[in-house]
Amino acid sequence: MTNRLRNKSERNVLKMKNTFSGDDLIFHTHFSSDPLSAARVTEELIGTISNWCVTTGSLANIEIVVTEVINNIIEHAYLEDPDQPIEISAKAGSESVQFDLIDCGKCMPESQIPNGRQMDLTGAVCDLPEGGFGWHLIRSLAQNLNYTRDSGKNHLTFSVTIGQQ
Amino acid sequence: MHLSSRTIGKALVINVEAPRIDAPSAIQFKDQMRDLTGSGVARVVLDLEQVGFVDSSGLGAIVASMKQLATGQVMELASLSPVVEKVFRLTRMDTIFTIHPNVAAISDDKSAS
Repeated sequence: MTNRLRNKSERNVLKMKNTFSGDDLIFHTHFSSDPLSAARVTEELIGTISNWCVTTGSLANIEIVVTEVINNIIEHAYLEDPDQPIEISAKAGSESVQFDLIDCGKCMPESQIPNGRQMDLTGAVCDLPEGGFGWHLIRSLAQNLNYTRDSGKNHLTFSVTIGQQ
Repeated sequence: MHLSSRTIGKALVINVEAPRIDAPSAIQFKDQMRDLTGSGVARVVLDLEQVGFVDSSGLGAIVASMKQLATGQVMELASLSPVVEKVFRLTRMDTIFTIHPNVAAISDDKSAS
């Protein structure tokens, strides 16, 4: 995921070319709500962002958050119907990448982003949770989460802070 | 998704030969884990050296694999990548599993005896 550059001068050239500066649209695509399409789009997105000098840790945070957001759309908004539309776009600023996800599935419960509390792990092994980690991960790693429902569409925006190398 | 296994000392080490444990592969992972651990061996170590990414579904499948073990069996983890380690840490699942830095370190563990 990192740019493996052999020397400092190459790194500087790349940095001059590929440092995020304004709010530039760097990624925008439509895809269908099946898990393999989702994995392919996430891989393309990470590949695109990795062309910039973003730290490995920031890329990992983006991959975790975007994967969980799309998983939730597939599982909860579309109830695993694999042929429904999802739109994703990403804008890069100097300190964060802003994401915008749109789907036409079910509304979020009570029209709100789930609180994503830490799951209770104190019980016996047989009582350990096997799900419900997604929103906790998203809320741990993303900022400026905002959800709106308009004209039958779910619109989720958030940003992930980046450290530029 | 393919899992292979080998025996080191008294431990059954299961190697995940895939770059991801995620929503598309979680059920397959869980089924193969059930087959491999069904022998009832007491100590199972899941070697994640080749796994670069685990999402919440993959994490759920790893937890489910532990829950489907028989009484007396334990499951430990080895070789977590930085991203996988982060997912375990943020969900506090790192407090549930014994985690080894790599497979070479498992035999040093006192729980091996």
